Amino acid sequence: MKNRKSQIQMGESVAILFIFFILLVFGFVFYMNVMKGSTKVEVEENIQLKTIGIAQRASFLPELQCSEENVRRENCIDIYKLEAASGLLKENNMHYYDVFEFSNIQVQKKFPEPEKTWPLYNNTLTEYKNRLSTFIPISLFNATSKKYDFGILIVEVYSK
Amino acid sequence: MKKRGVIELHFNWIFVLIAGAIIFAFFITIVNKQREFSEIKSSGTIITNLDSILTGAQVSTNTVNLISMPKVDIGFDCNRYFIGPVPKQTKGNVIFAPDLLKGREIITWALDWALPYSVTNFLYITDPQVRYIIVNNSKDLGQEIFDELPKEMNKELIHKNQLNYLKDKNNYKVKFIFLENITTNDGLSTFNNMFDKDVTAIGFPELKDSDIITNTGKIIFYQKNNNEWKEQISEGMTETFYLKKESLFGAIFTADSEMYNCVMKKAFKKLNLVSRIYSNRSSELGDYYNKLNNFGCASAHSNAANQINKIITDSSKLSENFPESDITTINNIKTSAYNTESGIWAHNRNAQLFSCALIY
Repeated sequence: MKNRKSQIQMGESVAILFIFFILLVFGFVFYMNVMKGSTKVEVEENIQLKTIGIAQRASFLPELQCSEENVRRENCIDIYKLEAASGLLKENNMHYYDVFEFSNIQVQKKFPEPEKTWPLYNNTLTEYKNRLSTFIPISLFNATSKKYDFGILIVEVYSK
Repeated sequence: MKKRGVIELHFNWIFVLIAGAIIFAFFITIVNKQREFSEIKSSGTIITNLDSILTGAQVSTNTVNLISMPKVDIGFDCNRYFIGPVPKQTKGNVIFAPDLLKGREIITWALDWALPYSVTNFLYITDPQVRYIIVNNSKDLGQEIFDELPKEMNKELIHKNQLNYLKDKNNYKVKFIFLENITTNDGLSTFNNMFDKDVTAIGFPELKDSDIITNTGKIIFYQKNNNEWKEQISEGMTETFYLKKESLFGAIFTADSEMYNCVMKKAFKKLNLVSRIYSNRSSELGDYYNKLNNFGCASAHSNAANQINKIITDSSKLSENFPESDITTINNIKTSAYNTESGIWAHNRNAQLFSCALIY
């Protein structure tokens, strides 16, 4: 009789422990899901920050910026530098990967017509999760005619 | 009957012990994992924010920023920086910084490195807790360096005869800047309580009797070795060089000669790339003006292109082999850039006189 009572008591204890662990696991899974959600938001924020950083670096690149007596003009790209940089960035893809990572950067002349596109850097991912684009309005300076055209610097950043 | 009761009682205790241990281990594991995770997460957040701050600081030249930070150690080497276990690439940025920053604030300072056209912005990073002691020369050049360095820095200007009166202010790093070869160990005993690696110095031998910061010169890095200064050796050499005052300031901020040389190699690589663009541009413009029979502008640009091509050759060598055994290549770059008759600077002036497109 006593033996049976103990066995029942034992069974109760094991059942309590089992339920306790199940509740614990549920709690943990719930907590992990909440954490995963907040990490996802943070990862997205980081991708956006990275995109802004790359766009900022592209628009302040001394290889492209207009200058007069070495005074740099913001949001202005020298067309002669642009022509040269277009080939140079391609040749030195490895060096510029450190700066632009997985992105596609190009300059488009919008006005006056005809429109023209200068591809600057292209190192994209075939399979990607996010592609964030930044469009920066810029002036395109022609050093010989001393005239300005209107264009856009397009920076597309890819991430997995 | 009594014996069975004892066994039952023991078994209950063992059961409670095992179950308790399992629960205890479970919670310890969760807390540990969570701590590791939150450490990595907070380091990642700080490093992402720092990266944005550094990018912003780098694109705005001649600006000083004092940035408040959480209490974390930031380690720097030539190509990366670390917060805790999280590393981040410097991404082609030219950053001069001590190997470790511990303070709650960091100072960032950006300057344009131009030869004579803008090449890149040098970014200098330090901490108000790092102490810089500038030992003046006879021509008071130390005052000029003192004034040019950001006022937010923990800097002081002394004369050589004041070295023995220095007090240890419990800074975690101390750097001496001598405007000559170091010939004395005076003042070093003050910092006996500090690790040797935390007390360093640099000497600029050519500035001994100079009242201006020359465009090029030698640098010797030293480290405390008990009570005396010991020259640091990098790439088998004790000497290295600076090109323009921006790189001289770089030597003041960098941890050691190895890091300085590595960062300068990156700077010369960038000089090489930017020069190739200017060379291409000037060749194009030279051809353009030739077709218009505007020979004044054509020669300004084609002569400039020749000088730029020399810089391309020299910078290519230095991006691989800096510092070379002597200063010749560095001086060649300076000549190509600033010679008053044949340098790029002179051709730019000519281009301006002939009202042509400027070289830079």
